[in-house]
Amino acid sequence: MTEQQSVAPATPVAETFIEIRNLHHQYGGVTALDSVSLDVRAGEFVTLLGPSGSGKSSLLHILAGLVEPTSGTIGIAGRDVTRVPTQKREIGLVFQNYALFPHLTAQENIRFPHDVRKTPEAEASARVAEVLELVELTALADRRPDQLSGGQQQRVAVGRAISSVPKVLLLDEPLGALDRRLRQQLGREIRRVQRETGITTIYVTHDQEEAFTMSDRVVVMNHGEIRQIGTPEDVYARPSDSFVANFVGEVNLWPATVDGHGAATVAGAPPFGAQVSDAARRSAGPLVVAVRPERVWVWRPDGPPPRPEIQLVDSGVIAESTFLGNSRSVVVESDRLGTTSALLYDGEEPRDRGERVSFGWEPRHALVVPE
Amino acid sequence: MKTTTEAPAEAVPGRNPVTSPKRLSESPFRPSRAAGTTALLVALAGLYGIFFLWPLTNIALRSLSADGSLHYTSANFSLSNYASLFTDALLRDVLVNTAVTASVSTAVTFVLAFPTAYLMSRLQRSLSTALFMMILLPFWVSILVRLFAFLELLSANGPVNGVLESVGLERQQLLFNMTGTTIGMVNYLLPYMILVLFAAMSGVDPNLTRAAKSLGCSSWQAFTSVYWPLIRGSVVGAVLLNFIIATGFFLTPAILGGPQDITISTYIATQVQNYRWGPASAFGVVLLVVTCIGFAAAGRMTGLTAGAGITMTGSKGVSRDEAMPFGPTKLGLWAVTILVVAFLFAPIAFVFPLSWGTDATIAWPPRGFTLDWYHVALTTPTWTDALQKSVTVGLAVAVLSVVLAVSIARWVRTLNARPWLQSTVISIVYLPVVVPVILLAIGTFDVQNQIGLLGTWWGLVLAETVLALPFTYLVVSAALNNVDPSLERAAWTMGASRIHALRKVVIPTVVPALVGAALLAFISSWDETVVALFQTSFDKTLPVNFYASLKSGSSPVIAAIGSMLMLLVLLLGAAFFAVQTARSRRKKTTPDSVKRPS
Repeated sequence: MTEQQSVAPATPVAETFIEIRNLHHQYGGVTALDSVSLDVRAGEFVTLLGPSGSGKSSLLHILAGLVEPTSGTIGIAGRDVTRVPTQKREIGLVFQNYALFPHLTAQENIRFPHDVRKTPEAEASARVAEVLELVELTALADRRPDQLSGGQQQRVAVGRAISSVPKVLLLDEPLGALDRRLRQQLGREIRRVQRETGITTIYVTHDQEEAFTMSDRVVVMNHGEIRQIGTPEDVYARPSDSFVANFVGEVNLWPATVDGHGAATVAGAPPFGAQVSDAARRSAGPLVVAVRPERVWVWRPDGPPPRPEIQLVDSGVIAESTFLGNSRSVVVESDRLGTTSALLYDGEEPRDRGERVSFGWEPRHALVVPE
Repeated sequence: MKTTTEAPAEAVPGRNPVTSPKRLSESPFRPSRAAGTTALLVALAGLYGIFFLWPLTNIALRSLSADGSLHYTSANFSLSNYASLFTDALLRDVLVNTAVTASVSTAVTFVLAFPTAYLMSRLQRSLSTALFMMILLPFWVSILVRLFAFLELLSANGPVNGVLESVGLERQQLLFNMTGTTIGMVNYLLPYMILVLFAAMSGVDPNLTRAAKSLGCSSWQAFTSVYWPLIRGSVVGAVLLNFIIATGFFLTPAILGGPQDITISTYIATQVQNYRWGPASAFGVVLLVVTCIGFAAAGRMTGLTAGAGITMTGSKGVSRDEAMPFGPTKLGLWAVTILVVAFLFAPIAFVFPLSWGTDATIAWPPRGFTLDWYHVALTTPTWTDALQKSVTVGLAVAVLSVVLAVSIARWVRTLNARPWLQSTVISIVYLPVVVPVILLAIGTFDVQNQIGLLGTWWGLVLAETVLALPFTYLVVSAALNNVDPSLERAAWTMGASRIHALRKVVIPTVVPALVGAALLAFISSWDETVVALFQTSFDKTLPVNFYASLKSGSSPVIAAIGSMLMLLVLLLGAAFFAVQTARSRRKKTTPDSVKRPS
């Protein structure tokens, strides 16, 4: 992919800890991964973000050694582990359903890797106590998984995975089964544990909020390919294409054409100033212009725009107006652009259904990307 | 922690010759398990080849030889045996008699089972589960003990005739004719029919009928237009299944039937015991073909294909407020249900009093009270030797079945990429349940005679293992498939080898199921009569001895033995259920409890 190659040089080579090169994976005629390359720095928290079937879980399972890639290589800490069995990879994997051993207590679960490796008794006990402390389970150490709540089970799973100090911690949608509030809390805890231990971590999720709040970098995947690698801010503000723009948040998308001066035109509307991405410049295919709803401004048709930088794009009628708590979402219908979503904050007017409005945005907030 | 100093450009595939894609298939990811798999395959092929396929092949070959002798070449093939089934008057009578007996038994069973199953499906959960257990309980009691009870219950001076006389009806001939056979068969078939119908009926959402009524249907219209179409397949399947089981019956007609109404199974048995194979083997092939077609059709219609089965979790009752309102319909359903439960329990309850009378012959009602007959039973060498043999064979069958079932289940799971092979292996494991047991009995008798295993302890153990394995496999594979595969993978990621993960993670979570499966295999072998009947001439097993004693006349000693057999099986059954309940409390899954038709 062109995107990731443009990113790769930005990663200092000396710091690369996990090195994934040209990974292909096929099963039953389906391509799960297509030419995936990725570098992860030591101690970094990287999230693989994508819809189901995007290949993010396949990539994680290949890293864990549970699935064999069709071709390509994986290096961890300078060693080629592509052919190394799971048992010898020194990884910790947190499963989506936790996979806690039902016949063992929390403590015994966390102790399991030490029993397998026959760690000396004193050392193992000290480490288990330390891990229990770290995941705040000391009081519940003797409970079996079925006597623990979902959140507690999740912490046992994380504790077990880091118990033997793996080189890499892999997490496969570990918060998917929990309710929203618990998800946020445990997400922060996972990040805290990761910071305290400094273990290089790869995290899989389909939830962009989780990805943004936890990660150093986000890898957006779709159809077995990496679509973009970058910091959460990068991915949100400068998506590489319409898929990424759409997947990491709400966005208005219109097919657009661009002239030589960087002005975009949508469906016969007058041209407006826009930011044209490098990828869009290089692309020979169709382009779209993407504008986040919170960047759309509305004002009364007889008045001026609220700020001088804002350009008038079109006028229309408010067709829907929904209260969201900290903001209000309105949908404006106009002849040329069809529907446009805007997010209004306190005091912004007009906001009621049926009112006529003019709307527009700053040129730097309209991003032209390949479709 | 070291970091790589290699530039990404150098890290492309091919830098290390070992990583060329060609080597992927033989990567060290999966340590070679070829040796273990080969050993398992050889064991399975040997077991099913010698004790299942070869016997059936022999029957087929003998049926093609005019004099019933065994030839492995096609030179002397003739269809005269098959022709005689329809031309010979005696053989035609056997055919007709079998079909009539099976049809009548199935019809009576259906008439009794349908209201019972319907009531169970409409009762609140606790009551429905209680009824379910009551229906299952007689299921666990050896068919021979039940037949013994019927012999006494229905005899000329027995309690049933006593009641008939006291209400002004004449004493009836209830034994050694089609009436006797039908009563015995209905008693045996009822639990099967009820379980299948109940599974189907409790799968129907009660709101559907309500929805139909809210749309203006009368109760009857709601039944015919909504309820019936949803259960029709299962009903037809259940009837077919029962008919097939009834056709293959051997013990019931052999004990309760008369000399003038011979069925296919009893005919085959008497002929083969006298080494007359001709028409008997042809009958066997016909029975086999009909049975296979019937089972396949029934399985398709009920949706109870191999591995699905009737589960206790299927006993979903309805909540209290959804329960059926009290009224004449419910009263009628209750009347039938109580009749069914009484009919299922009558023979069981009846055996105990027979065993404590002081008379040397069985009389009803028993006079006095003595435990002497138990003492006699436990000190007579014929019975104690038989007990010893049954126990040793049962234990060997239990161990063998569980080991094989675990190996097969683990192996079958690796065959996901080849679903055709996978389903073939599973079908072969389950096939012995489908084949009428009389055919396996005469077939293994024939084969073991040929290879000199007949009458040996090992010969019996292996033949019984083939019969017990389907039940063991059902329980074991269900349990192993319920173990989340990520548990094992989790152990691997922590450095555990495959063996270590199996021993420390998988097996501990399925121990209760393995114990249950071993119990089931033990009971299967412990109760099995027909195959053992042909396998043993001198050192009989307990059921064979019991069968021989029944044929030679009843005595209180038999009643005492029957009581003890029942107690043991009930205790083992209770243990099995206790284990399963403990397990389901932990895993919310319960394997089923189906027994083989005899």
